[in-house]
Amino acid sequence: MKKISWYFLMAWRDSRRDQSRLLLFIAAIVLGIAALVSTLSFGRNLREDIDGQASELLGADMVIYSNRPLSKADEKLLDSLPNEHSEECSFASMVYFVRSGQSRLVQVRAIEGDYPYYGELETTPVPAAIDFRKKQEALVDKTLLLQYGAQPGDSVRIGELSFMIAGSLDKAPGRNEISMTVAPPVYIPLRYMEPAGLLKKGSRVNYQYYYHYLQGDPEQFAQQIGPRLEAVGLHYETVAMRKNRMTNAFRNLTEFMTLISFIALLLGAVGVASSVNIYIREKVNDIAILRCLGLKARQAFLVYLVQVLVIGLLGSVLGAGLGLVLQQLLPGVFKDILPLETRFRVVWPAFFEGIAVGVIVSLLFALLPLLSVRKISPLLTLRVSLEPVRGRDPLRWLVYAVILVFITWFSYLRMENGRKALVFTASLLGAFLVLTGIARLFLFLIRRAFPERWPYLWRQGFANLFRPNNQTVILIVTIGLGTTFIGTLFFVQQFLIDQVTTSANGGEGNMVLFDIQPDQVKGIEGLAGQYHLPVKQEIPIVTMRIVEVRGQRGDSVLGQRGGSGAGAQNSGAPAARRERGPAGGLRTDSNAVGRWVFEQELRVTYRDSLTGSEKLVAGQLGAPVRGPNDPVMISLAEDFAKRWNIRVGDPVVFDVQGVADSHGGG
Amino acid sequence: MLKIEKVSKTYTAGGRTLTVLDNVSFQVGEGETVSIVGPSGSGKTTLLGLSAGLDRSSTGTIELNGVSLGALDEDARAVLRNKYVGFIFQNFQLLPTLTALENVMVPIELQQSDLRPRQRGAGGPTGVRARAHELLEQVGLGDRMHHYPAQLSGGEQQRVSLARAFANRPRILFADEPTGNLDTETSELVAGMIFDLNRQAGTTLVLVTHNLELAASTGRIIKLGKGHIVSDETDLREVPSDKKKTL
Repeated sequence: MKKISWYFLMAWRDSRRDQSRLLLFIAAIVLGIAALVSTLSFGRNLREDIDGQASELLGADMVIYSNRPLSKADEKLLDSLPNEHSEECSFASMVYFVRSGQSRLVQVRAIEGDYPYYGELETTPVPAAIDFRKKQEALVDKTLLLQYGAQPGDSVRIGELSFMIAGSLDKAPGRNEISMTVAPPVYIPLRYMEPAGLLKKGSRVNYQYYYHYLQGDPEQFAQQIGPRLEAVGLHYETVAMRKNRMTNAFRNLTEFMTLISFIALLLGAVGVASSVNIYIREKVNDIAILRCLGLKARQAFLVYLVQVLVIGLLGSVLGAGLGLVLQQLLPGVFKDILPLETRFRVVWPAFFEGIAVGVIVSLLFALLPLLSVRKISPLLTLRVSLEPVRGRDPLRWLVYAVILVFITWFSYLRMENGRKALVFTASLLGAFLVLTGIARLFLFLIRRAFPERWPYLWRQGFANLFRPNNQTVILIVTIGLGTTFIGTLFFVQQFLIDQVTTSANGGEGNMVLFDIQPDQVKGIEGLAGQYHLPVKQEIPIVTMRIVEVRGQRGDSVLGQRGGSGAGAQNSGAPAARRERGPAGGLRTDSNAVGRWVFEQELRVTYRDSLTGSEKLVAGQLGAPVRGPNDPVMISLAEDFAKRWNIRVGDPVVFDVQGVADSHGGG
Repeated sequence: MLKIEKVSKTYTAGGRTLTVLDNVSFQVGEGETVSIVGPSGSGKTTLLGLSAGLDRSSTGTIELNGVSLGALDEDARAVLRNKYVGFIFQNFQLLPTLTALENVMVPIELQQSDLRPRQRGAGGPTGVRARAHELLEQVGLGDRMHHYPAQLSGGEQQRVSLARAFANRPRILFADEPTGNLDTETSELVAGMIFDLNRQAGTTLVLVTHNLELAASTGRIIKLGKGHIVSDETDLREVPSDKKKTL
């Protein structure tokens, strides 16, 4: 074995007058590594920011969501630990800008208390965040102010009251730019809700209660009271829950971006294989001379392996450095969807991971052409016409296998799902094989149907495609894979856009009017007609209650387990009743129906077909009712069916405004 | 020094078999100078390649310095070449990314780094450089050592090649048309250097050439025709072995 320093010396000597060719190699991987490091760093910074700012995202230790005010029993339960809390009622309403005389639909948030307890409402001027609560004043979203030319000191009219604009709302905890644009918020003090005449019977109001616990562990407390809150139809969220929700939501984004970066790197790696292939072909004679002078096959391979490793390392370090720079741009790109402030920090693990991945990818993909170095005959020094590489090399198959294992392993690390990682790798392999097949077929067809009568320029051009040392197959594969990846990205983008724009497509309605009484229908139709707004569908809404599911009567379930709220004993899990078994262990009754199923008033309607955004997941749409004893077939939203523990075929009895009627789950 | 016995070489291409050398046998003694001549396609270069261990014969045996090449794999033959063989090519075959000095150093570096430190002799890397320096001075290129091959004329490149061929003190030198790419004047200069250095080192010389004048400068001429030895003539001017020197 030669001294390692000799390989480095020889690698340097051999490369020094061809370094411009090796720059191609570096360029092939720099961008891929830069993309990988920037997305890895951004993802890790985002996770840390979510961890660090989770309290600010929620603004409190726990938030209760409800469509009704808290009962005394609810309050008693929530006040088991010393706390301070705030109440917020939010609803959609028109707001009228007095100065411009224009109005717009906004999200009115009527608030009382010192919310937020973590983070702050960012306003201009700063004191407005506190001051508006003391007077008949409002905080108005900054884009609304810009849009309607209003400014602090002007008035807005909400309901029957005028509010002076105390300041512009620049940022609110947990809300991103997009959510504030879609539903721009206007904050007012809660005590003006009633005088403004905004709360009427049937108003669609959401209640949020922000709790800041002064003692104890809020998370543990939430775990203790959570089932009881759910039992009375209250939803809650803690800091940890928000953190998990956000981490999961943004993990998908960052992992998707990382996979895209990895694909970019793999494309670069194909470029590496191509550039090393060209480089080695140009070096065949030099290698033959060295072999003639006494260099062994393995030693010749090592001389070029050192070059690849050094260049791969250099490209990876450059790429990783560029990635750190690019990373600073990503928060700006995603600022509209990020509800938190992301800070730039150098993530050294991502930096070094990028370098390691870059070196490994460079090495693996360069190994394919490098292996041929071992097969170069010294006889080429005497006979230049000799075919440079002869015979098949079983080591190539080993390299192919290692490449596939590496791609699978890396994608598994990103997706944490073995099946998806295998599908990802298999798809890549499939695309590669298909493109290789197409390239070979193309070459075959060119040879078979060579345009002999075409002008010289064309004939030479086509002939170069299949002459010795051509790069036709590798170029077609590289360009094809690049096009496939870009096409896939566009396809995914379009798929997502299609999903959210289904309702905006030509035939779908884009406005819903509720609570139209029979005697008002004609008038509404006439009004819509005046404005050339076709009424797409008129559907009745009937208020009902469920009184029986699978033979379990609501009054029995409600009677068995006492009243709602804090006093209820073991009021049940969302989908199954828990009871003590004979041995004292916890027994789960999968047939049980939660009490809240019978507590809620439901607004029920019908349609004879699904819309574009709906999908039938089980059963079938309702069958015709032929007689008075036939059950009426109904369908439930999937999440309702799961929460209520109602399955296809279950008989359900409704109380339709005082009349009990039997229906079957469909 | 070199023993060729019943050697044949056949190539198969497109289902056809072509016999380039057919049952060739001869021996070359230590210090002998031999020319192999013959028309194009007579098998000269093939014979040179086989003799130097660059290729394998189809049949027959070849012994170089007492070692049967047939028993060695490619790597073992590479070690043998580095240890005992020097090459001079028609197209010089210098490494274009190495300077003249580095080109001459390579065979010594390969040899040195295969030896244990005690076997390397005095000097180490400095000794390698000094040896290459000395050889380049001998071929008159003391002032061109740090030039790359592309910066040298054909004659100069062949002189670098000559210095490289003698760098590892070979026992046998194979030269393939060493003056084939040079003008008459330069050819004479280079040929003179080959024979001078060869004489000084006492190296066995096997020369493949079309140039009968150059061939006449060797002690023996083997003439090939259609893969067979047509004649094998020994000249009385053969250099006696007791005059061998080492460089």
